Amino acid sequence: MIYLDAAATTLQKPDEVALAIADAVRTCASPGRGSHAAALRAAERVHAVRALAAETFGASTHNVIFTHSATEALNIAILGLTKPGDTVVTSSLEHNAVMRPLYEGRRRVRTVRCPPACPQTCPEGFSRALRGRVRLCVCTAASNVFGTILPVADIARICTQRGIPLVVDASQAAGVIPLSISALGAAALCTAGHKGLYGPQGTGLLILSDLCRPRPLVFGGTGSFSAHLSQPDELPDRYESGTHNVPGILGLGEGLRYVRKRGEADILRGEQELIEHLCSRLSDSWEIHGRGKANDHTGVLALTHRSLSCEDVAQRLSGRGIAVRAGLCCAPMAHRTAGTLSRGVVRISVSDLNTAEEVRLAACALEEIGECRQ
Amino acid sequence: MECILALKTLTAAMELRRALIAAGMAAPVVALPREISSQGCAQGISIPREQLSRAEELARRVAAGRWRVFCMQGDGYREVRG
Repeated sequence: MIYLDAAATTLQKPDEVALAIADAVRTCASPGRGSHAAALRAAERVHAVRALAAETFGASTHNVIFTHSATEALNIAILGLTKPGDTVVTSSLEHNAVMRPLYEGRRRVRTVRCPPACPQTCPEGFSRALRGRVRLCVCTAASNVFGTILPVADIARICTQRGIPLVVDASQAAGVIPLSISALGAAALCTAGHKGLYGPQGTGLLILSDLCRPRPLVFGGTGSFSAHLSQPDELPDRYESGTHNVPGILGLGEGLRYVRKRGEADILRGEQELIEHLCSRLSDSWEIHGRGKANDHTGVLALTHRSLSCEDVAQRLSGRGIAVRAGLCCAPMAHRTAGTLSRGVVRISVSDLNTAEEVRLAACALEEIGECRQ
Repeated sequence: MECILALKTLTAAMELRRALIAAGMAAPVVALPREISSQGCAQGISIPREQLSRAEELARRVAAGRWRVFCMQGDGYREVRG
């Protein structure tokens, strides 16, 4: 199979990821639950990943929270920092992992239009929107549909000037764009572990600044302060109730090591080149959406066929052994912004472990499908 | 086991343990006796009494959060610094 759906999850992982997971399943117990060898081994290894994540994202070690997904991290940050009726500013490219907590939590949402083909205009919109009684700003660092890289540093600067906490959704950016919570001055940074960080599914990270302490969403055993019925105040325990996903976390650690060894800049450049090559091979049968300068995008391409539906294209590609995503990709606001809400798109997304040959074959398949009339 | 550096979280204990090991000290994480855990501490690192000053110096350097020191006196642990 040629897997080109890395924006959903990276399927190809460095070998070390699977090895670490298998080893953890066999040898690691639960960190903080006992002082026997298997618990201590787990504690040491989990701590090493926490320290690595802290270094990667410019945070203190205790401010790195392991979650089960970016969605969980975003829910904690968004719902824990605001209350019903609060005004929250977002970009128009947000995923439902941001939008649904806001709507279900009855927050007032003020959306800044960010055209995916020209993200440079976004900060101006944020500057206008971040006025009055705004409780929180939530912004993606890169669109999951169009790959658009948003100028989060500029947006963060405005938030800092106005004293408004910023939550960065780094799900599509972590691993391809260096992000430091301390350099940005953001309140929280949320990411999946199983996309550009090459960890397994079921992993995510919530990185907090020293001043950001959202209310927890989940309460329970932490292996600490067991005599108390109240949730501990100390981090990371406050947000990590229940047994850790130790195999997942240790797999994520190997993914993080891979990214740090390769370097985000090289990974991004490689992915951009693959997508550029694909774009250059597309015939007039295809329309590319939301794409500006190549440097403004990650390794994600959104396209539609002149007459075939997105689902049909994805099915035809699947029949040729090529995996892509079709539809709205859980981001209806982004589609509304780009004018693709009614049809959706075919999303092709690459990772550092895709090859030029795979992309060449995908281009050939698109060429064949492109000639189809229905 | 003579003294215990007691910390509030496992993360703080692991951070300190790493620093102690890097400085060439054995730093086993130990289960806290009830008399210490009931005082708001979650994790402990066992330290030989003669290495206590050096361990505390390292703890200050890595800013491993607030720690308390308990040493064995008679039949139980007594806090000597907190």
